[in-house]
Amino acid sequence: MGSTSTKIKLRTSDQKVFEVEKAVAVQSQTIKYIYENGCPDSVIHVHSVSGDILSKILDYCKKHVNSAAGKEDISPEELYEWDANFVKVDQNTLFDLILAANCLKIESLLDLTCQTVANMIKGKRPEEIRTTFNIKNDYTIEAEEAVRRENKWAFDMLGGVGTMVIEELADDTMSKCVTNAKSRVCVIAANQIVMMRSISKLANKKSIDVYKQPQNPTTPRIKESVKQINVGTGFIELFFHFKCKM
Amino acid sequence: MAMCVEDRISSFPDHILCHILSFLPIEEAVRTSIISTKWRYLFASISTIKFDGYLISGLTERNLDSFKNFVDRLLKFPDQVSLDCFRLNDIISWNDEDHNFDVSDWICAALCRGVKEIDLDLENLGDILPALLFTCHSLVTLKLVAVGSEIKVPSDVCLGNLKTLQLINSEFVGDSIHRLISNCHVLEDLAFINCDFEYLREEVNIQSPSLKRLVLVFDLVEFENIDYVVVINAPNLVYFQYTDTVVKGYTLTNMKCLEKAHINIWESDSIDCETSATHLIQGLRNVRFLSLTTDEAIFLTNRLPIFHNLIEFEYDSHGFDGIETWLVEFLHCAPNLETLTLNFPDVAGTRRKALPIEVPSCLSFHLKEIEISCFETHIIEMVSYFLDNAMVLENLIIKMKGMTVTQKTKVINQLLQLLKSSKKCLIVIL
Repeated sequence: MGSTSTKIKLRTSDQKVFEVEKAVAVQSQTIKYIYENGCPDSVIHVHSVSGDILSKILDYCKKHVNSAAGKEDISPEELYEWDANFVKVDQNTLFDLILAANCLKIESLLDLTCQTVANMIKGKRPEEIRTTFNIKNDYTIEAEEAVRRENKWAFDMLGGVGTMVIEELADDTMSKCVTNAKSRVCVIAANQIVMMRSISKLANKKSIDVYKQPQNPTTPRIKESVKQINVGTGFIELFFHFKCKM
Repeated sequence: MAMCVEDRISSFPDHILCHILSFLPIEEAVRTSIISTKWRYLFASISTIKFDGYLISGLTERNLDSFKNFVDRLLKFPDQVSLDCFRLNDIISWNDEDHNFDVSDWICAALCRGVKEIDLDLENLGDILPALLFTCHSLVTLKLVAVGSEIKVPSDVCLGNLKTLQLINSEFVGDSIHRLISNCHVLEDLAFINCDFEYLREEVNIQSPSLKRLVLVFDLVEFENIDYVVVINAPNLVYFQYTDTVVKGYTLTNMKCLEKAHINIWESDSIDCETSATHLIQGLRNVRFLSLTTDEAIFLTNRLPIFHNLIEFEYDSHGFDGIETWLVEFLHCAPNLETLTLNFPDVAGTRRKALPIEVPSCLSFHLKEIEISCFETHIIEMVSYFLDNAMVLENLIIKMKGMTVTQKTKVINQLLQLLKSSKKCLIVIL
């Protein structure tokens, strides 16, 4: 019967032919549909994908199929890392992968590549985003103002006043969060112990007022000029009040 | 990363750009509107709407109206495509005078847009859940964390497309939960975690021909009453996770497809605890992978079923008198076992009984891999027993955490002295 090693032939836009196992190829819902509704022996044309890109995509599909079937002994963490390395490519290739994953309907690959682009946008100011992707700002001054007004709340969160709640973060994550946060006010959760090291690292970067989150969320937040507070009552323990420029 | 020379991204189809935006926190997605005119209204078509505590606490008083206005436009715009996911979590003080969000209204708006997944984790959730939620035909996934408040299920509940239902830390009164489950005809994935079934009369009764995965986790401290029975009639169940004190009784109808079970049970004070626990385990006799955590010799070993399909068994315990003997008796009931993982530390004062002479057949014919997750010196006797009797053993993996180098070397030397019945056996020490 040989159904376990059925192969499917795929021809790309640049006339390259790939022969792959059915289980790998049908990760693409598009290919799956064509295969199941057409003649299984003929070659499937993948018009909008080049050989190089298809080759990479087939690597991805193979890795994921093998890992799911247990053919490859790879832990979820290792697979996650493999995926992370898979998308370490230049922008052009990344975009080609997105368009191909969309056209071939490979959901997990589309999610992976889109998430990668989202990570390139995250935390950046609009000018930085434009630079990253070479986008031209074609707004008039008035139009741009109108856009800012339309969703004032979102633009105010960028570099403006705001509060950030930190809960249960590790040292370096917290320091990263505070570094990246545009907010000036930082509310620390009741049971969070803030390490001196991470705060002093930020000391010459940001101006942050530290508020202590009270146990009862309905009482107003109290600004603390911190020395050492109440060890063991579950409140934060900060060693000094820091102040610096934003 | 090397940049494109031209702006390729802006020429992506809208739905791909929206997909990218759905991975951003919503305030950042909204800010992309200023990148260029092409991007101005993309955020309005995102199919996943998530508000979390960071967002809400980032709003100042001046911006609340702007935000509320935004949410209304986002949720209620008439030409909108259907929504994939609406999620609210970790929002503290959403309903205080400062904020006063009409969350109930937001949920209704999402439902009207044919939302497929709703995920809510809010204080006082039970007070604001609209009844409309329970008759929504588009809903496929529903996750509620009511933080202790009561979820009221209306009498006309009908969730015809619901496949996944996850209820955490929520309270249910009367038969509302049975009504809910029996009106979800295609339910595949059900989880109750630390929920409180107030005024529970006689039983927790789960009847679902479509159910494939079931998770029941009861927090002993919260729920003192164990005077009820657990009835599960889910013939297509593939995965079962159960954490609880052993209750009055169990009726598990035959689960032919059961692949994997995670059972974590504690002994209760009732006299019939052993009988009850044995009924529970009998219901799982078809399982292939079993992970068991107990603190006592909780089953009547002479009434254990034969686990014909069991190929992988993991056992965790805090240790009790005669645990090694109990374990070997259990192995007698798993004739086809191939992989065994053990994790039981030494408890001071436990007495060891002599290991039985009759060797379980799985050791002689099938057992290929044994893993000792937390090796301590007292296990050496058991390890020696395994090496002596496991005829087809290929791997013996020993993990030694928290041992000094000297201790480890001593143990390694001891292990190397032991006789191995299987020539292929490899001892791996981590």
